[in-house]
Amino acid sequence: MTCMYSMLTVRTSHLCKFVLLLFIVSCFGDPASGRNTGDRKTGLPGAQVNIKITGRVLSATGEALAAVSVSVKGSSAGTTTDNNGNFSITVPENAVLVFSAIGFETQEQAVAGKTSITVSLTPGTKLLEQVVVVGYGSARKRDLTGSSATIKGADIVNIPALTATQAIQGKVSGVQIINSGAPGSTPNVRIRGVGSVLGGADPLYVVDGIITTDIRNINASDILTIDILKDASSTAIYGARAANGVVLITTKAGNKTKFSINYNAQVGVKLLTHKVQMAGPGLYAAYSNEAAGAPAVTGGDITGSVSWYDELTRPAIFNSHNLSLSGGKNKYRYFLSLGYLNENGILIDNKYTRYTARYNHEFTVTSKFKLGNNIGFSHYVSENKPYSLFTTAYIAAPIFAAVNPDGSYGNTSNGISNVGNPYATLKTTNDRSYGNRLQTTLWGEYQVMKGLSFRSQFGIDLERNNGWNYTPAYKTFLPSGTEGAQHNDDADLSFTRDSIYQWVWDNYLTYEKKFAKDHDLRLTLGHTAERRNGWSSSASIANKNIPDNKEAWQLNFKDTANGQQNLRLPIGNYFRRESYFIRANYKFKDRYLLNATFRRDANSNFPKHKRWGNFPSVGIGWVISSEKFMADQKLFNNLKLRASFGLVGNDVIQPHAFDLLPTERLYAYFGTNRVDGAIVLGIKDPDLQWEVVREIDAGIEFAVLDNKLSGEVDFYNKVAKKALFIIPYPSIGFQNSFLTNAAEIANTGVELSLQWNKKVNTKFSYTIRGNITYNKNMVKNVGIGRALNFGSLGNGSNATQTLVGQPIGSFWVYRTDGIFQNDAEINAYPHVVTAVPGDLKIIDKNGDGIIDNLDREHVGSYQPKIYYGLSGSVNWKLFDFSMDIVGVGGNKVYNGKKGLRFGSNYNVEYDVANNRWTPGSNNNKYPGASNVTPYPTDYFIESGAYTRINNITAGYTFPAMKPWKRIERLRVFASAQNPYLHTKYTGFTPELPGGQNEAGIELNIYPISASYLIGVNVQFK
Amino acid sequence: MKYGFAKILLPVSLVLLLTVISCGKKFLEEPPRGVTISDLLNNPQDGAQRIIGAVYNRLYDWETHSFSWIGVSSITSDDADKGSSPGDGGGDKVELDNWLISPTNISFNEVWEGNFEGIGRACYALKFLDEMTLPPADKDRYIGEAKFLRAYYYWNLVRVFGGIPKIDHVLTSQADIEAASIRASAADIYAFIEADLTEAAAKLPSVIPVAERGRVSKAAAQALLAKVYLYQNKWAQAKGMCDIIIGSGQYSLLPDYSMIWREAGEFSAESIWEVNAIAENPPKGIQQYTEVQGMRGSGAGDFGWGFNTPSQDLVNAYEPGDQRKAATIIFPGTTLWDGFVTSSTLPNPYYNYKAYVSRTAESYFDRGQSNKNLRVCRYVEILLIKAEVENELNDTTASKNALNQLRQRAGLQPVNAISQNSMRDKVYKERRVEMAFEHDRMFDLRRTGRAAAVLQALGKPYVSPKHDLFPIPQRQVDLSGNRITQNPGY
Repeated sequence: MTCMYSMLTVRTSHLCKFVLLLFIVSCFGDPASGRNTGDRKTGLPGAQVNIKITGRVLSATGEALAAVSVSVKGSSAGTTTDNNGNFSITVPENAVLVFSAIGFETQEQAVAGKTSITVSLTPGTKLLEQVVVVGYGSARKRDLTGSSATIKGADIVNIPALTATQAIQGKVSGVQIINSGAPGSTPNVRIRGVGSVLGGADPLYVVDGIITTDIRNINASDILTIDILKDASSTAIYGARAANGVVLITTKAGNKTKFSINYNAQVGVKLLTHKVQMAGPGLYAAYSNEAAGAPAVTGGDITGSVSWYDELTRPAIFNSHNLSLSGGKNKYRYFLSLGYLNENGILIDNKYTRYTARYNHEFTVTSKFKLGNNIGFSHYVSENKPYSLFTTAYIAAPIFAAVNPDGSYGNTSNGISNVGNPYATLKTTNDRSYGNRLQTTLWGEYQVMKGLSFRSQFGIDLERNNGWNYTPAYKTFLPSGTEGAQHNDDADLSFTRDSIYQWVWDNYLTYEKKFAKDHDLRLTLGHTAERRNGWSSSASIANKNIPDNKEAWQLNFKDTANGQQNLRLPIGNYFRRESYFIRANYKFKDRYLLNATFRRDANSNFPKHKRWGNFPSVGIGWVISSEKFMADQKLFNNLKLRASFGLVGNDVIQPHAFDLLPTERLYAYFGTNRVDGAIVLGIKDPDLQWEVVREIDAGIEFAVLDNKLSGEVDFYNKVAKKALFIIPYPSIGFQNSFLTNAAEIANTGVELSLQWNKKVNTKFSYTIRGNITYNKNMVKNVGIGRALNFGSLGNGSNATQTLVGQPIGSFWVYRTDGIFQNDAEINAYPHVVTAVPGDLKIIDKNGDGIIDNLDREHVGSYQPKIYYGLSGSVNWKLFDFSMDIVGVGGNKVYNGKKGLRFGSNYNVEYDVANNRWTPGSNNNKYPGASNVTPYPTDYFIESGAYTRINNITAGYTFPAMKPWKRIERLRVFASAQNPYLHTKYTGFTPELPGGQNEAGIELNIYPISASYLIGVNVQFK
Repeated sequence: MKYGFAKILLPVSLVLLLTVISCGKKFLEEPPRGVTISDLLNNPQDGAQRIIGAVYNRLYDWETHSFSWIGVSSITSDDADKGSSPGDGGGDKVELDNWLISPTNISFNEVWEGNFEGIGRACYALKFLDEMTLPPADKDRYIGEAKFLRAYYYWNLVRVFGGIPKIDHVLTSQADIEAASIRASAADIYAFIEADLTEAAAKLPSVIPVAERGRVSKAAAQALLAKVYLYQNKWAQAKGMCDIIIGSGQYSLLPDYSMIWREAGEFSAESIWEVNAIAENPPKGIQQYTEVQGMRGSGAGDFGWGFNTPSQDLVNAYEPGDQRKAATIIFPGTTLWDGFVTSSTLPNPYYNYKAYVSRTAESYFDRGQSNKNLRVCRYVEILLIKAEVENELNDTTASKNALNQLRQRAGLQPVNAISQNSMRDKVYKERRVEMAFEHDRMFDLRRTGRAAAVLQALGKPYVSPKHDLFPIPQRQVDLSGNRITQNPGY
């Protein structure tokens, strides 16, 4: 009876079982439910006359509404509508029917002898009626006890961004987005702090039910809503993967009563802002000579004058076009879209292009049975350039020509400094990646009986990424014609090919029941299984005469002729997962809420006896505003208290990190026979398990002043226990590091979000929204482990440590106290052997007379203590205007570029060179010219606080125009993205994405740029 | 209502039942990619050989038996000078030669890591062998080999550092790591070595077939045990082991001493155990062992880096007519056994002949990976131990009988009846010249309490007791969080 799930196909046996399942379920779902409901009324006192009523419930736009609760006021009797919105119920002739559904205003209708009633429900306008996606279902936000946030697709569609997460920066409290300026990149998303040292720190993404880690394939225009789940009450339904929060993305569906075509387009330009000014030839030569104490760069060496950043960057054009078509009829609805996005990087020739197509379809087979699919396809082409060029441009001497008058590449070392010509590197890098991704959900939903439905959903995610990288033969030349040291004698070519397959199959039941008038219960019970697999192949060949004609590039992934190297490796995170989950949402008297969730998860990445884990959560809520004693007050339209507690997990870890895997090719000879020795070298923790995060959340939701002002405040405490950590130990036979569940990390914070909506009159309305989050991150325990070093500076030193008592990835540097002005000062104080006047005076913190690592201190981390967003929008007549601001505070950055000059004659910043210490200057800020590798000191630490105008948009919607009556809406807008940045940071950008232990170091960072664009939204009917 | 309840319960239980059945327990089995331990355990014939092969493999590594080991065991002694060019300190070899040693010297750390990794591999091998189904004799032999090799790696460590962490199983937890990251006493380590060797001697075969040369035999375990006893002054036990080996009649001295270190002399009648190096592609020699010690020069005269050169003191130690002198030391302007004529102006006065590989008359692949077997244990050493312990046990005659066998082979006159004390000096001297450049000299000087006197006479700042042990590598102290303590004086 056991079976193996095969990768791409579910075997016939499974299909049979699936069909069998649906059959069994449908047998029990005989449409007798109506009769049962009727029978129930027989117990009522006989004085009244009962009549049978049939009717239909529609939306304001005429769409049939299914699962609307139809109850008799003052009684426990009731039914729900079927998929066509129809219902039938036998009630007393004087009864009042109450129609309620998630997302709609509740409506009452007196029967008054009628036998047929048609009701039209209006969508809920109150915040509380808002429906949110909660994972394996949806719920009214009012009924939830957890902390979550919803962003509508409409709110992000006009922001020029590849991924939706880039566009939600500053919009949600508790969610920090760290953007990169690189085309095709994904931002760092941190929900309620960084909760893991060595496991994953990214949230879980769920796109229409498919769990994924990369959402670059999703066109933001296709998104209906993004729901962000933050606390255990909302995330525990995702169990072992929920510790970093969950981002649920729901794509659009058609409308059964309305056909429309939408077209959105944007075109704009990106500009490099905050360019750091480098020293010019004269200043560079003076600085270098002073550093060497001898002529190092003489007049004769200066053969050009170049600003490398100007050579490498450009104003970059970007544009996007999205066309969608949606509509439906009684039995079906559909949404079809095509998207194109082209993003040029400010780095010359750097470009990312994406094509997307989506077809979402829903078909009502019978009144009880629905089928549907969400099919998303994306194709991308990325022209990659090394981001290290931003560093090379920083260190390259400004005294050469990028290109010689004869068109050849200039030589930029010439015995002065050992730095290649970044322009030549840029132009000779031909690195393209391209790929396709098909992400599909197929689902069926069956209403077994009143209140009970069964949904089966099968998702497939297929990804193929390809790449090639070609470096032609090239040379560099001095103006004299002498050949330079930088050259590639023969061409190099490499190919890569990644294939990733993933499927997930969810089966779950949802049961809704109202008991005895005051008790509402909603149960979800399900099972899910998932598998991911993939292989990465590469082939490369170096030093061959390969022409630059792409058509001639053919590398077979198996061939090894001509010295070709091949490699085939499993994709990093292959796994199988299986889970059971149950969720109960219980409501008493419509104001006392209890949500309980339990998920049991297994992951093949863990040892057998540690594979299964239980993740429970419980939340309680009290809607105070619905209490009788609140009936008379006018201030609060809503007031709700909620609290939750739960355990969730983080199972993002390399596969088989617990497994003893042999190392091969440890040869020995027995006689003349070569034995291919194989044995395990390190030690593994056989009890390795997921990280467990205990989360507590307490919150208040409120709306006052006729719902004009609303907001939420949350306090949270997340403690990751059994977090992964590396334990060092001596070389006693098993290498010297041990990965185990030793660490404990706490994130404690407060979130506040407020919203002010004011509709002054029909012509003028405005909204102001703001949110701010305070988060404190702290490593509490690392078992017998000690500080782990991270954050390589590219000069032999490390800048960060993760250790007990400090935030993850804390900067670890020497403090300085000004500059040694003369030899006497040096001799009077402990100093490093290389110390000369003009060097920073490193403080001998422990007073042992020696400057060593024991003198280093932890001076903060890249993690902000606070981050915030503020946005406002105004609608006046046909004009709309909006602006939003984002910012962070309390974080530090390490200006690593400033520390790159050592040994070689690298360039320096204009400010640093121009204001440098010179003998007798008494300068205590900028050190003197030096060729010595700088120590990691507080000189490089700067405040990372910034406030940025993230977006300003002004739009105009044309009034209805008779000649073009098919046009329902036409809006044009202009927008500026990142037009203004306020920061004291002296580097390119204080927004520095990176790994959780070493972000915030500016080395090879792609600068954030400012964008200016115009766009149009057209809707046809 | 009853019916309604059943209607809910049934589909719910069916859904659960079906999913549980369909997935089953096997669904969650996702084997790791590549070769797994199961692949080895489930193919015991091949698997056991591959596992034990990996334990032997560490014998060939740079850290275990090459440059650092040469430095620690030989350059430090009176037999050898640092060699090479004056400007090339060989990392820390100039400091080893001059006894300006410190815990940060890289050689100590490499010797530590090289041997300890061998110990770790042996522990893994024992763990896996225990889980394998093998014919009892095969299993015994593999276990014997793993124990022998673990003892050998420990033997090298305890001689260098004294007490060290005692690792007798594979670590699996933080608690294990804590318990293992401290030093056991040297006596504990010696006892552990003795236990491993005693069991190995019981389990290993007496005869190694030609096709398996390089694997260890019963006599190898007995010989190492004799030496371990000798180092602890356990004379009677050492004598017992020597007598077993001698009495077996399995070994004898090769008539021509100079043949021993040639390819033609591999696994001779005198050989008890050698690390079996082969020069083929891919080659597996002891990493750069001969290159490090090879003659310096240019063109055809360039054999290597020229470290670990014979000292004048060693050259002077040979009696006139001792054939071993010319077989141990390369002199300028001489013709080597394969016809190669050394330059009359060699960059260093002498080179180590025992590390010489002929490019013309022996298998040759490249300098880095030579065919040079490391002769770890020769029968002659059993005679030397026998001579030493018999003398300590006051049987000067038995001592002389043993010693005269090798003197005779060297072309020297037998020693005559003399006192125990002068006999002791004779044995020490004979041991020195017989076993020069066989990585024992420094430890011999220490165990016999002569190190300070001998090295100070040569102007080295050797201080006893500080220098009677080498320093624990600072890196290991740091990695242990200072739980591993430093040897006194450093």
